[in-house]
Amino acid sequence: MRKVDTEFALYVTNIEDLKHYERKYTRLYYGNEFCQRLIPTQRELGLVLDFVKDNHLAFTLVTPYVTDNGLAQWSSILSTLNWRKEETEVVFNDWGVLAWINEAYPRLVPVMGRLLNKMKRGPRLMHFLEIMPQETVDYLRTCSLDVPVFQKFLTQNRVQRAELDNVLQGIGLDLGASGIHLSLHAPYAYVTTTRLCLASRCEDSEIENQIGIFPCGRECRKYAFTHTHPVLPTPLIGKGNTKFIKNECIPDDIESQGVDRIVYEPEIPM
Amino acid sequence: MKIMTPFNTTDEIHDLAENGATELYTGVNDPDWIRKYPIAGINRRVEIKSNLNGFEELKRSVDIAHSYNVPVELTLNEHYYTQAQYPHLLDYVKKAIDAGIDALVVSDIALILVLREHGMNVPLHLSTGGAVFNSEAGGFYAQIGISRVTIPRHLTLEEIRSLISKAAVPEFVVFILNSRCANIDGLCTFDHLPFKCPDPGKFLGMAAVSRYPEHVFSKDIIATGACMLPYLVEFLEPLPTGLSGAREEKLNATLKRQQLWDKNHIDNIPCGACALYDFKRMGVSSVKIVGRGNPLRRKIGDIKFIKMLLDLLDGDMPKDEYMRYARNLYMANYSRPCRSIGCYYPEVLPKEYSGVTHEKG
Repeated sequence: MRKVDTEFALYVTNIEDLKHYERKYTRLYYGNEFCQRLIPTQRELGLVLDFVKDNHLAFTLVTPYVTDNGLAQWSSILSTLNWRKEETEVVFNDWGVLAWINEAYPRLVPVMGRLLNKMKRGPRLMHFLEIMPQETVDYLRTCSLDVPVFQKFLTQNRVQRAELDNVLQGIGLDLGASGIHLSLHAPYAYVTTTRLCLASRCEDSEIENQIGIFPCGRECRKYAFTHTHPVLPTPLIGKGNTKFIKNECIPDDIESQGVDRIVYEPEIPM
Repeated sequence: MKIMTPFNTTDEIHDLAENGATELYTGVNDPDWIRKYPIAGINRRVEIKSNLNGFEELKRSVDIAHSYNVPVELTLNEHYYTQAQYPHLLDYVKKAIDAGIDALVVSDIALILVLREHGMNVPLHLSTGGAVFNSEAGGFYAQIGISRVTIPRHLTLEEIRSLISKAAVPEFVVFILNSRCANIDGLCTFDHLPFKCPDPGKFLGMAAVSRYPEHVFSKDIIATGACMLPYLVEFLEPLPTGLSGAREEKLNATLKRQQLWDKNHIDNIPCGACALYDFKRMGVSSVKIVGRGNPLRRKIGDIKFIKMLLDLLDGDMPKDEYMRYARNLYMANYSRPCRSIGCYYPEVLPKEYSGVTHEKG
């Protein structure tokens, strides 16, 4: 069993949520994983970096999956960070972003985001664990990260850390001596996401029956919903274009599986 | 452009090829896999009827397809596989190659890397599960051996145009008919069952079922996808009292819109035919019809519909006229009008179909 010192990171998607900072945190995550429209402004990034500096924190920028237009929008943010004196991690949730970082921003440290770890998160799974073959249960508790060829590929591409969700069914990863470190996000795990955002223009009754990619008024910052059904042991939480579940129970054995960082989300990370 | 068509029995191939299918794709059931992983299909189709029943049937199918010069792709596109599954997977792939398949459709980057490491010499095509949203991602996959990318359903035509023009990928596929989900395929982690569950007590165990009111399970609402359940949607935080009429109206609209997610997020009859005109000019190599498990009659109808429209593109019909023709042909072929909410690429629709617009995000 590996003995690790667990690092505690605070993850915020809004500057206002910096109020949740406590001294136990040594790293700040900032940014949005699910929507390229929620790119921070240079001013917002500057305020966050000031906060990081004032509180002697390490810094991790979080990025979403992006279109070509989104790549262009993020370039100025990444350029700014590429010239920081201190080491800066960038969580990528899009293989194109990893390729782009390695090509254009060699000083940034890429971290594989949780959208690229495809573990099943739908809470209905919890009903099946007791009746499924052990092979299925093992499958549901792990992901491609346990494949040595993939681990080697990641490290060759400068990726030495991957982000996990705190899934209800538990985690059973064995990364051996791969050199890959793991972060665990809690309490919110993402379940699914869309570009057909039901939050954008959601206050407009003229389009209440329509689905599409509408102009964004950042309505996702105002509203959150529960999606409840008795067959789910915990409700889905809808915010913006994404559905989450909340799981506050951190497993006791995560350190033995290579998790050496807890990423705490004080608010739904949208 | 080629018409990529699904099939799930050998008997269908003559009809599909003779009616215009120029590429075929399918899956193969594996009893050992199903026994070990009954809710984690080897190819994202846990319904047995969506796949062929073994590699002998695959070989017969490939032989017939090749007699029409039609290539056959085999789906191996689960979002992820684990190390414990690889001995089984490699044996499965070897049997598929021996059966003569022309390509594998894959999603999992680890699988791509493992197949390359083991020298499995078969072209690899990326499923929409690979979630390629930008040209850098396309180039990334091409570098590790992907020769064809299936473009996710959630991109606008302009975004597709940009991706195709910039990415160093030999071939691109776009969806054209059947099956659209609000969730992004490659980024969705919901479970899907192999069937609707008429006897939840038998499947889940009475201990689980008895925890809920009787009506919950008596109406067959354990849908195939947990995403399709009829959810109760409420604001997470209680609403303040004494709201103005205008504010209340906005909140009502907001809540109603959220409920669309359950009602409309799976659509089995979407169409993108009006966009064929643009796709040809972008250089799209194939258009994909979804529905391995659909009846043969529907598959043939879909192929004929798309083929008629592709044949028209060889002429010089103006775009407006072409799209009007496509909408009329859709009505004639499917006996239903074109629906903006079921349109893969609604930005191509004229204003009278308005409302559902895709704008640059």
